[in-house]
Amino acid sequence: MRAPLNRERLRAAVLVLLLAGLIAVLATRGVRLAAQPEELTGIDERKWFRSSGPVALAAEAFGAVRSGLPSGGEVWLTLPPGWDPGWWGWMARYHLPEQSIAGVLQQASEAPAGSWVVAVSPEGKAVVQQAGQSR
Amino acid sequence: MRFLLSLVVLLALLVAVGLPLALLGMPVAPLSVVLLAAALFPLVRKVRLPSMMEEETVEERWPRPVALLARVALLLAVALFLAKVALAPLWSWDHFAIWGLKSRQMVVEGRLDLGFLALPGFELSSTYYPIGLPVLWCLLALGGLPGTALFKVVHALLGLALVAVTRRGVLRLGLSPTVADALAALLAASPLLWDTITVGLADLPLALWVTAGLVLVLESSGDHPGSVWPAGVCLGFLPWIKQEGLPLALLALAAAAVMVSSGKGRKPRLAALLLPAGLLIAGALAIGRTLPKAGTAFLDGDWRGRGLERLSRPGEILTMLGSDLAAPDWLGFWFLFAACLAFALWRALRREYRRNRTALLLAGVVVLQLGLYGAIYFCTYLPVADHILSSFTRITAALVPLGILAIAASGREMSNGWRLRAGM
Repeated sequence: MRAPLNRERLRAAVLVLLLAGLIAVLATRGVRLAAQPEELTGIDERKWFRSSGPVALAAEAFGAVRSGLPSGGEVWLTLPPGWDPGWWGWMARYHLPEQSIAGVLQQASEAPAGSWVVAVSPEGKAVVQQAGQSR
Repeated sequence: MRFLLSLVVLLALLVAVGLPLALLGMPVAPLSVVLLAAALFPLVRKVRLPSMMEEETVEERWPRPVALLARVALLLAVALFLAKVALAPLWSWDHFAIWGLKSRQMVVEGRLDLGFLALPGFELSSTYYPIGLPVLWCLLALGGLPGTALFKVVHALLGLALVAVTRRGVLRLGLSPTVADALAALLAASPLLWDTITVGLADLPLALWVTAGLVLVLESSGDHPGSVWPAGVCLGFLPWIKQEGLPLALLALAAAAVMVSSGKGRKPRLAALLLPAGLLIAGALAIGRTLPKAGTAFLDGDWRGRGLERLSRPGEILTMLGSDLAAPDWLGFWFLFAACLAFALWRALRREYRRNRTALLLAGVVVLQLGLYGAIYFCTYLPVADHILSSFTRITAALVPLGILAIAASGREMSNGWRLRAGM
């Protein structure tokens, strides 16, 4: 009768050990999440995809000008030098779904007359312009 | 649990019926969505599950402190999942360029309009991907613009549902509540729920519907065939969610067909499983044919040539895949899975196939789907290392709940074997 009893105890001990390990991992994650949530999401980004960008900045910039643009309107973007036009173009499509994103220009003056331009500043602030006129 | 599984089935039907209707001109607006859900609700009320109390209640054989520890681990893992989803921003590129983008573009003035998929500039949106999940978000937003809050809330609810459904499956497979809590905690702590890459993507929904389908099949044993047709709905819904949902649906349906084929009433049960699944799969394929094929698919070009060239030196790719599965992020999950699979195979080789059938079927779905992913990496047009790095953990994570069910099925036999020997 002793062998089965020992086996039961061994199984319980193994499960306790595994659960203790899992709880320790979870506790570590919890402490890091509470202390530095930005760092934790950064770890994810480094691990999974190296081409993500300032998503919060893009959401803030385009979200601020969304209501100032006509629904269905054609919109051009201007960006500070060195900013990735592909990445920001996609972000514009995502955050301005009611508009048609025509492309990214070097300067707002290059946009067709009467069209709408969202100019993003180096600080990440966006301004709506039409045919060179600031709004 | 019956209510939860009914809701999961309802959401699948909402998309599978709502999308064709919307393509035919039904407005995507609050009234039409609510009316559609109300019309489908009587159908899903017919989902029948045996009560755990009616069945043979699994004896809790673990000491009380161990049971408490398992429950603490589960609650902690779930709380951390919810906290992280709340705190982390949406950040994955595939959400902004594919899944989220489509859901925010597809409803124009209250009507479904997929014309944007053919516009220049959207080639990189993988226009041919299934659109069931973006449509689901639109329907849940009642035709409004889905935003960060909706994406996060839906993700959190689907994650919670997945943990609950998986735990129920472990119980149904005959393991104790303590082990069910421990395995559910392992799922909640796995990359599928913990890594925020999956927020706003389709991997977690895919995991939920395949798991719900197979758990419903497990529930359908004996005198409770009322959960077979909902299982067919869930498994048939997989190709509406992701491309890899099609092979996963076929594999899961094959496993499910074997499971429901024993005992009396075999033919009606098979028909109840395969008919709704077949209809939904056909619907997904038909809608998929209408989507523009812009952009590049992984197997474009000379995929055979690439595959043969890489097969001549497979070590590099296999090492990358193996290293990923052995990474600490999985908390040892794949080692546990491999050990249980080896145990089930060993028992099957000792002419105890029938007793290990469920474990082998569930593990077979996971292994074959993993093999499919490996084959794609051998043939992809993308640089292999980049392709593996950017997707393997995420798509593999969706198989964790099935792996947990396989572990549970194998663990039951392990425990039975111990008990038998203990009684000798």
